[in-house]
Amino acid sequence: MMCFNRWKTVIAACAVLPFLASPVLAAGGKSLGADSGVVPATLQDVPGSDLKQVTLTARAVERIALLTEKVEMKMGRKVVPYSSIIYDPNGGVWVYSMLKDRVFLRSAIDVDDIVGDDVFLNAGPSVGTRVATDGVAEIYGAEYGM
Amino acid sequence: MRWILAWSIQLRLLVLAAAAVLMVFGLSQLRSMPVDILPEFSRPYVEVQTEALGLSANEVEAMLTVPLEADLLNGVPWLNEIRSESIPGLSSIVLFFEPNVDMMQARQVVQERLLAAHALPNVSTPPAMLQPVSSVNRVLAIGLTSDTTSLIDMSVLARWTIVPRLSGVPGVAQVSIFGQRKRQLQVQVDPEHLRDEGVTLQQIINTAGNALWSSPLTYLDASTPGTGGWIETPQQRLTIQHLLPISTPQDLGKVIVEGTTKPLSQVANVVEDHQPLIGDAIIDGGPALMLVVEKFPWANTQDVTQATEAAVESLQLGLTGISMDTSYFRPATYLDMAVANLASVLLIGTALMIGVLFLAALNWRTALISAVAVVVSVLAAVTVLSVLGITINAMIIAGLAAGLVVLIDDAVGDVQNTARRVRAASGDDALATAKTIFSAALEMRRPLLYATVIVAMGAAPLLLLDGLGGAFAQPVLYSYGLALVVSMLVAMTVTPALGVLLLGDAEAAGSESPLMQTLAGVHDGIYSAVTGLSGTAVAGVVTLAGVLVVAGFSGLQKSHDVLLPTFRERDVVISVDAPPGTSETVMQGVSERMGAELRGLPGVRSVSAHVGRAVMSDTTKDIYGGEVWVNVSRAADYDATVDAVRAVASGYAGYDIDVDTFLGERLLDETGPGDMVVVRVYGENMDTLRSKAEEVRAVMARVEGIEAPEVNYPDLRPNLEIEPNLANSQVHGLTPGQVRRQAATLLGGIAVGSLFEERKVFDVVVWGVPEVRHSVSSVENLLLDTPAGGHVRLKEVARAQIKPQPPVIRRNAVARHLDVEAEVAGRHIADISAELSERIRQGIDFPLEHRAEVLGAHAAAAAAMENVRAVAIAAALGVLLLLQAASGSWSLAFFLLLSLPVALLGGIATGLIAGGIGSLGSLLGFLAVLALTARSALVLISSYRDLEKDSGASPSPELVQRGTRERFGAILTTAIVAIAVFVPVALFGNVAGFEILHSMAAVVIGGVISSVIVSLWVVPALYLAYAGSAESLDVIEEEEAA
Repeated sequence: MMCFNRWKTVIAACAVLPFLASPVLAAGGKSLGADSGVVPATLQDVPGSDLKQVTLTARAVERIALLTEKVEMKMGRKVVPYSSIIYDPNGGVWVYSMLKDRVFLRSAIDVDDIVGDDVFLNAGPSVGTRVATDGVAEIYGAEYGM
Repeated sequence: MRWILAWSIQLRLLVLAAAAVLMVFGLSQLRSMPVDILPEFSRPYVEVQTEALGLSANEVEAMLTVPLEADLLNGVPWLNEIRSESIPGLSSIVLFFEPNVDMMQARQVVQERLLAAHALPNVSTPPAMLQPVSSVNRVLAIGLTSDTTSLIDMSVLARWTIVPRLSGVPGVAQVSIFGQRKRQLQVQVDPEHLRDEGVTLQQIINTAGNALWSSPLTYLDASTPGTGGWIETPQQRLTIQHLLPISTPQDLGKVIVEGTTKPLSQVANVVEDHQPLIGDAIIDGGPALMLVVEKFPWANTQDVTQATEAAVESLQLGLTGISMDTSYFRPATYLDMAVANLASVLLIGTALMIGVLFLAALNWRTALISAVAVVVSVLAAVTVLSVLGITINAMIIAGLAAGLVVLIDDAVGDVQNTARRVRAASGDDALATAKTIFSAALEMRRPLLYATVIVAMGAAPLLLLDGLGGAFAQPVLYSYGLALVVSMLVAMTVTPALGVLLLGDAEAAGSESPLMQTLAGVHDGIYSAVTGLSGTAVAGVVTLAGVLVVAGFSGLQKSHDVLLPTFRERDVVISVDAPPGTSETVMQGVSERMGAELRGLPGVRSVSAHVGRAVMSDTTKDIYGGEVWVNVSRAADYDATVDAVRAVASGYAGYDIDVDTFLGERLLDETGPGDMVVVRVYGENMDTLRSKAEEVRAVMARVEGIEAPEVNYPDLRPNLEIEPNLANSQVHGLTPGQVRRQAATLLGGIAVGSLFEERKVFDVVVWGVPEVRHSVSSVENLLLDTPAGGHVRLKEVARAQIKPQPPVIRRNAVARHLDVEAEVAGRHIADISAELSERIRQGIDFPLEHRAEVLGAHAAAAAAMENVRAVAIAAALGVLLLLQAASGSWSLAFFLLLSLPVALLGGIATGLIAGGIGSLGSLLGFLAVLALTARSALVLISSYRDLEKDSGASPSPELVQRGTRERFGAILTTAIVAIAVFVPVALFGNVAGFEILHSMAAVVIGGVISSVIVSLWVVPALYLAYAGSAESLDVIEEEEAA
């Protein structure tokens, strides 16, 4: 009889095992779509506007080949390089001003004329502010959560 | 059956000769059979593309897509769905047909409609139907690079020499050229300079066009080139040919502008350049050309790859200075690896099988017969597939592997039974031995026939799956069925024939090996303990276990993604999507930098990239979307390399990055969204669509079971809209059309004629100099000619403004649409859909030309699953009835049915250890184990009943023990052989070709063990408990015994 009881428990235990284990099903192996956990840019809301401050990691800056130049004065008007400007879908024109190392904020500009590589502004960031001139599309994409 | 058995024994030499021929034929076929990874899984479709370089998405939609859809293509027969995409420069319309429609007929009907497309405005090339391509369409990507030849010259070679040659390779459907730079003679004008020279834009166009032999501009004389004619002398006819003296920009520059004395070169820049790019290829850090080769649905990847590479080699000889590299993307490499792995495992498995068979029986004759039976069955199945012209793919191999268990059981069981009977008969008379063998084979056949029908019934519900699941389930089940049928035929013909030849007498049949005798002793010991259990206790435990296993399985996620394995292909594709409207320069830059970084990773063999699209290619991406293709080397650590690739790619800020294998990406295109309910709002006015979509969202939020409904707004891109002002233009004497045509010529270019040279055709284009296309300011300041001879800036007669536009305009069912999507939880999707439709119908008013529809794809899929479940229940009942007929007792049949899932316990355990039991491979393994258990159970019961009949007694423990003991050797040997054959597969692990097989092997190894336990201990116990009441209504058996 002891033998019988032991057998019964063993069989019953074996029977329960798969049922407990079925929630643990996995197809086996990591799907290629899994997250890698790398975050190259972080966003911060700017109170009082729709803008978001974009902070890039050092590695991200290398990867987007970031370059910056200063806002200058030419012929009495503010000037930024042509490669620094970006249009939003509604026609607004912006540059990305560098607040501090690897931190950027989109700033509105009012374009008067574009001659060659110079964009003459009616209004824009103050002279001496650094603006991104390469990697601008990437910072824009990061801000829009791509 | 008797008839076949009898004749096989009678004509045994003939049967064996036929078997030998089959083996030889099968072996030869095995080497050369067409192999591919997956069967075709996409529904039938036809794609119609119309190119219109430079036309914005809105205008493509209005001028090309809408007329084509509405007038020509809607109303094509057998049409299931009509979808279109309008992007800058391209209209793509895809027509999906009902399943099982003949592709060729569908294409013919579409082609007939397209013939009427001459009614389209003259802004595009004529609409073209793309070639039919396979679901897994890309076969090879060939990179063209050169240090000495320019990209334009390479493009000419590609377009006129390489692609035509490759398109002629059998199986190649189309070859597209990414980065093609078409050689053009461009007359680039600066309006300010024209004004200084006193020349108008129209004069330039007329001059350039009329200087050539032919022009597409109908208002130019050159649109009618005239023929040559001939001179007829009294004796001869001399044909006349006119030769164009213009072939270089310098030549064209010498032409005098009509109405002046100035040559073209004085008033404009005449240069050789290429058209604006819709896409590009980046290889090794710089722009290059990439030829993407696609195959027909019926073509075979390896054959096409080899033939194409041979063609490339022969071309390479004549193309010095240009290097053509075919290793950037080569799915055939994965196939080679998979085939090599399968071949190794086949050899090792066969050797192990023969070894184990011999060791288990220590009788070379029985081992030989079993081995030959298995090998002949496998080769016969291969022969059938080869004769039917079927391409072997992973699904078919999986089905055959699952059938292997049954093949082994047939071979071993029959031979063991025959040997035992011959031994028992212990006669020397050949005829008597033959008769013994005949009846031995026959007594196995009937229970096994029942078992085969039971297994077929059990698998049948899976044939009802539709969509992607169905496309994959069908080849698996058909090949499994083939294995079963072949096994049965071989057991009825070859095995008895060999038996008569080799097991001629009791001595030849030998005796049971010492190993078997020892194990049998062990079995007897445990057996008496088990039969000591009360039958009801065993039944109770079996019921509990069986119910739990079944409940556990029905809790399995039956979604497609879980079911399909991730194939360990060597080609990984990273899709890199920038914000809509991003420039080509940025995309080139990121492709170069990412490519360089990836190339530095260990395990990465090569990296190539393309952005945008190519003419008549398989992608409709605009320039801001790209793909980076990474080729992983064969020797690399696959998982580590892919993880590293993903980590690098995700580090690129500002892009939507997705990493997948080539097959994974293609499969994703086919499967729809997950558990989501989608309401599609149709209409033409974007503002109305938006507000109605919001209303729908509000309604959805109130329906129970719907979570977080969201409107899927398309991203927007900035678009420069130029709208002439009627009043202002009138002041200068200009009409809006005149403003458009001048601006279009300067900003977009206009083809004014063709150059024919060495049997190639090149365009001559009038365009503005790059400076006028430089910025919004330069566009606003564009200098236009007025009819009166004066000039005016664009901004004085038109407004140039940046407005938002969707980058891709998607239409479905001949209308624009917005989708409102939501996840579903806690309620049946069919109920949710029904309630939602009702609420929308009652609660929202739609203006003319607008409506909403709850997409039915999910309800249809849910209904299909319902069907499958219903049929599965019917199948289970059918199996119960069959078991009852086979065993004669309802309660026995019922508990037998429940004990079948119990046999899976071992498989569940080993499967979980190996990584999971939800995949296709595991499910097939369970199917194989179920088949094995059903067969063993039915054979055991049949033998008990035979013993009862022979001895005239009723079921008793002694009889049952004797019956079990008789079958013991066969059951155990089958188990050991099955494990031996599958162990190499499990040890190889998850390598190329084994994605499905390795999880199957894990399940089979454990499942076979628990199946043996069920057969040897549970079935006899159940029989003892419940068969006593059996009424033998077995008419057929009576007749045979008589």
